[in-house]
Amino acid sequence: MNVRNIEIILEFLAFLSSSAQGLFGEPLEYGPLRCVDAIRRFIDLIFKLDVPLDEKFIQELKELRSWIDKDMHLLMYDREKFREFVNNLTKTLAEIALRYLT
Amino acid sequence: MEKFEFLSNIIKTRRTIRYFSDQEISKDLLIKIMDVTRWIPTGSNLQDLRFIIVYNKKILRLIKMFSPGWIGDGNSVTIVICSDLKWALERGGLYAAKEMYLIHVGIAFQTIALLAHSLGLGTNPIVSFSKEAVKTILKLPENLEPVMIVLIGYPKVVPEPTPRLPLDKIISWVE
Repeated sequence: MNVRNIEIILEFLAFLSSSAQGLFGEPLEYGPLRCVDAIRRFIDLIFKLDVPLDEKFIQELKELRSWIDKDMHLLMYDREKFREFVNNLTKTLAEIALRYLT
Repeated sequence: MEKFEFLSNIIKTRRTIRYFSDQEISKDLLIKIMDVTRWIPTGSNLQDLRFIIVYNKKILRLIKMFSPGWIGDGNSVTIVICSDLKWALERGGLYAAKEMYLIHVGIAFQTIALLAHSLGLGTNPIVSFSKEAVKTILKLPENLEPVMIVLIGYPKVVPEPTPRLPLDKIISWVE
């Protein structure tokens, strides 16, 4: 039994589940915040599980992760800038999807 | 005035720390902080708070798993601030067990945070966590209600201060 992999998977599931539980009573903007954090944590999960991927794609995921790590805290400073960040993040993911999947 | 300046500086330079260094936090420092924290005021001198200090790395990891508000990393000890609600109800009545204990937790956190900051430590208060999960992980008795998780450690990254509303927006005078 690979306990390490079980731990990695449970860590992500626990985050999603406890986020869902908490969001019933938390500020509206915490929904987007938890979703964005889930992207960051999902990228971590991919790396930890050593999923075989194209080197260039891995690099793009690393950049996305650093970007999220830096800008997710905007919520505490400027809600409008945080909203812009979430919009740009989705736009960037769409551009990546377009490049890889068409 | 000297005391005012000193305390103002401690209050204004405190930040919520999310990224801690790897430096270990000694138990002596925590005891020092908690020995002062027990002097906080509580309504009716209720003293309903109980502090569970978690050093065990495996338990810390489990708590982090169920705490979406725990963003960041590094080495930190966790103080789980709980209220003994049975104690609060018996000694302070319904108001104590329904509302007052939350005020006590706020006072306790600010006290811990300022003392820690004065010793070069950083803190992060977290209320976004699953109470059910934390109760299960720490095997807490029914009467103990976990209200806040406080991370405490040596800061690695100190963030810029978040904006504050101006004074005239938050106070009004009745003369």
